[in-house]
Amino acid sequence: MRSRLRSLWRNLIHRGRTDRDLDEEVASVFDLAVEEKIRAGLDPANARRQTLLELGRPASLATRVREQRAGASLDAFWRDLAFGFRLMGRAPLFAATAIASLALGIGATSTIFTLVNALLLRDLRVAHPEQLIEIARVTPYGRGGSFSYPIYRSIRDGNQVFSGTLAISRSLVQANIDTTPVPIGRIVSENFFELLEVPPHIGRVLGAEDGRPGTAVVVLSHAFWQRQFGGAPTAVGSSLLVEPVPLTIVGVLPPSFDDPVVGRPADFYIPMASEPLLRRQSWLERPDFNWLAMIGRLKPEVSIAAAQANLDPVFARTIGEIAQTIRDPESRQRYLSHRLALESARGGLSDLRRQFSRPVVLLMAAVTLVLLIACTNVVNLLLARGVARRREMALRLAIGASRGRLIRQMLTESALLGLTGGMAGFFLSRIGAPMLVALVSDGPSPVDLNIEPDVRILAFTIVVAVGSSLIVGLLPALRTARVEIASDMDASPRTLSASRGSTRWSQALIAVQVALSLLLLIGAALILTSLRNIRSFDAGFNRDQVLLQSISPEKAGFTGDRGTRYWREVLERVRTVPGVRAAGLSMITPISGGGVDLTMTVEDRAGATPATVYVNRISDGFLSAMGTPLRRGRDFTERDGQGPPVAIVNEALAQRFFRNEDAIGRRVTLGSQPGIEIVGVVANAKYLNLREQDVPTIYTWVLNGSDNVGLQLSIGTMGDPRLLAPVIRREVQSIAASVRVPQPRTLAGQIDQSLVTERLVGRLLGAFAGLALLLAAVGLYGVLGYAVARRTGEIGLRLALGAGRAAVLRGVLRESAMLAAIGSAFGVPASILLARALESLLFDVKPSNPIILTGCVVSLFTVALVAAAVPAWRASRVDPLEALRRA
Amino acid sequence: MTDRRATLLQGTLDLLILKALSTGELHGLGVSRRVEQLTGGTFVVQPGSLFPALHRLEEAGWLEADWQPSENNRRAKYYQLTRAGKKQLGEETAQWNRIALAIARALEA
Repeated sequence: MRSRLRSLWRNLIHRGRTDRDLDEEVASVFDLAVEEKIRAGLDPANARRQTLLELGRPASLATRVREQRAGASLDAFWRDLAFGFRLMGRAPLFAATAIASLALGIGATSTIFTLVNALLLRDLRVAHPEQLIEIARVTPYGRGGSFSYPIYRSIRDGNQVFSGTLAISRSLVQANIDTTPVPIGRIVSENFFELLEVPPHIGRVLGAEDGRPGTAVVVLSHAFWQRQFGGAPTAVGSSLLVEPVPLTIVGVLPPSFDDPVVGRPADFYIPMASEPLLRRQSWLERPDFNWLAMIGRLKPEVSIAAAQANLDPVFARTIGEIAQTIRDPESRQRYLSHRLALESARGGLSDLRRQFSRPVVLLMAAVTLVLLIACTNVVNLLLARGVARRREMALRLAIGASRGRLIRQMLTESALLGLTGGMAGFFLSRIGAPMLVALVSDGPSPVDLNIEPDVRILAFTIVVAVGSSLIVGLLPALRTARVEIASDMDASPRTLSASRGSTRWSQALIAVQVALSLLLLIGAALILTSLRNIRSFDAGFNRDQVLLQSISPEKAGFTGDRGTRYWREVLERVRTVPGVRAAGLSMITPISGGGVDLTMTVEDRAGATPATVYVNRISDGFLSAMGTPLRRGRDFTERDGQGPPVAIVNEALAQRFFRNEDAIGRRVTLGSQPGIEIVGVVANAKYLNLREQDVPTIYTWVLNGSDNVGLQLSIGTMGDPRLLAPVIRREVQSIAASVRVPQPRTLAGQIDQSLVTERLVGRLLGAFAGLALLLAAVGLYGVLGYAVARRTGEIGLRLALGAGRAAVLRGVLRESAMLAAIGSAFGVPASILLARALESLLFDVKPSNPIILTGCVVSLFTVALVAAAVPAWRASRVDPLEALRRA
Repeated sequence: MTDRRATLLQGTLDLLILKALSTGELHGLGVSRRVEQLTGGTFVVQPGSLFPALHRLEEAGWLEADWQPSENNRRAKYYQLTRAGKKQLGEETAQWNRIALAIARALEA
């Protein structure tokens, strides 16, 4: 062992000396052998030849010894690396192009992976996240994650499979602090921190003692504590105003605590027992108010299936009791069909995950294509350079290197490119990831994702870099190592025959690049067209000329008739602002994500069956502010607040319930309220989201003195609504200083928020497609430019024999167009197949849309011809005399 | 002329080199000739295998090498066994004998 180490030392450190020693030994052995043969009677020339046959060339004999020596592979690696660096230094443009291509590809991949990691892979930083189970419910409308407090209580107390069950509010409460964004809090069960095993940073976390009624305490997140209190320990014991109630701060959470609501961490946490203080009417005893998410911690050795089996009867019993209070049989039946669904919550609650997991996986696939295109470029560069290096390789073979050794050297060189590109890519992703999160989160509710690099991101980037190195290096290495000593020793880089194979490979790779770029281009064009369609189709309201203002005068004491008077004042004042078309109030604004549905029955009709309709409560002026046109009858007026109940319905409702009859003048029962007379019919308008079918919707009167809570003011403007926003805000604020008036938002902004997935995928796919085109153009330019340089002699000859310069120019352009055509021939059908993955994001456009396909192919050809222009021009400028002399 | 000669069994080359050097120091070519002589011409060690093996054995500490004038006053690198090399030769010989015996028994059975 010791002597082995000594050899290693000697071989690596005193390499020069041991090398000389070896060469001398081999030479002396050779001489001895020759002498032996001369003594045996051979003439000197013959003796030399015999010895050569017997021993082989001295250099290759020495090489075989070297490859056996201790540390030989490490030694060779360092030598290859050093050589690689020298080569990079000698061809800086080549190295820069290759590294930049890889850095862009790897950087983009790593950026998207950061998002995948944050959304899909990362565990919550709490004790044993794998034991955490999210309890959700499946309803006829899809999956829902919210439960009422009574349901939570019966699940918590009735199960045998969880060591504890916690609840956390999905709705947020706001602190009375005038900062943007306004600090937000969640209401949690008092066992929340205990169950997640979160220790306090300072003070204490919530505990069993906070379950007493009347408790008024709050725990702060570390970030909020730093931001608002500058990290002062004295914050504990002081109070925080939440929805005008002072709560005593009892502690601060550690910085590592992860809110289970991934992407929307709260700034402070309030125990359930404090909830009645914050709301005029507590939700705790309301079985029908669903506002809590539930997470259970599985006992050891309990499976999800076992937990499900245990929880199902508990849940069925609970909703059975609640269902008895529902009078309408259809609603009751629907309510009773709810089921529980359990899934792992090790990464937190899955809302954001569910929203973004598909698009993010899609983007991962797209970015992989970009990476492949980048790799293809580098392969082409290496192939071209490999041709230029045939002489070097032939020489090295001739003086005793083995082919394996050559391949290793080439792979080391490409690994150098890959790892340098990977490092640069990693830094690029550190810049890209926050930009990506900003892209996801624009809108009033910011998304706050943990994108700190962790082991997984680092490992992923390294794997991608090494993988790219292999992809990039293998083909050129194998091709280069196939040199023949005899024919390649004197191969000039311009010789036609020596590189025909490489050229064919390059062309095939370019065609692949073209096909992949086209795939991305068509995908991006489809998404962006859909986005344009969905932003501009007639949704039943004038989305570009509406401002939305949410205020809560009820919090400042304007309730009952005082509230009604306040709102009337608001409407009057706002309507006098120049530039305002109309203004009105409503419970719901379009595409806000919120909605109400009730069962409706047509009165005075035999056998009328109740059916569910969407409901909005509105005031006069709302429909005209929204720009929803009245078809028949009349709009609401101010007086509708006093008289008998009236309603306006949309065309879908009129069609569904009245067909050929006239809806106006008919009476309906809505929920528990009978005798509502229909006075008008309006056009259909989208309600929950832009993709829905037109749903029957009924509008009833809103300002009734008793229920003026959570109203929104909608203002129709004549021009750009943003210009009026400050004026409106000032006007509303001047009515009562005690009501907090935030900056109004635009309806277009609210709608765009519902399109965040489409915009994210659209923008990124667009960026990727642009990048792909650029890379493909660089690749084409490189390959054609190289081909022209290589064929200078041939072109010169043709010119000399009378070919026109225009013909030469056309020849190069034709080659480029040919490659683009082959690529398109594969890319277009592939895109039609793969566009199915995009289907859920498309709107009013088919993957086989001929205009989009043609447009993409045309732009691709344009890029191909532009990329070919310079090489083609250069080819047509070849001087026949000069070219023939050099060839 | 080579087809009659047996190819070297894996692992026996080291043993033959150690044995060839057990009677005194030799240069590389000398080792090759001595092995041929010891095995009655059955084994011919190709230089391509011999020299890497010599260097490997040297690195393992079983051989020592130094430069000496050869028979007709040329410089040549001479190898000789170290104490560890002699011990190794003993072990490998014993090992070989065990194997040879076992195989002979197996073939007679």
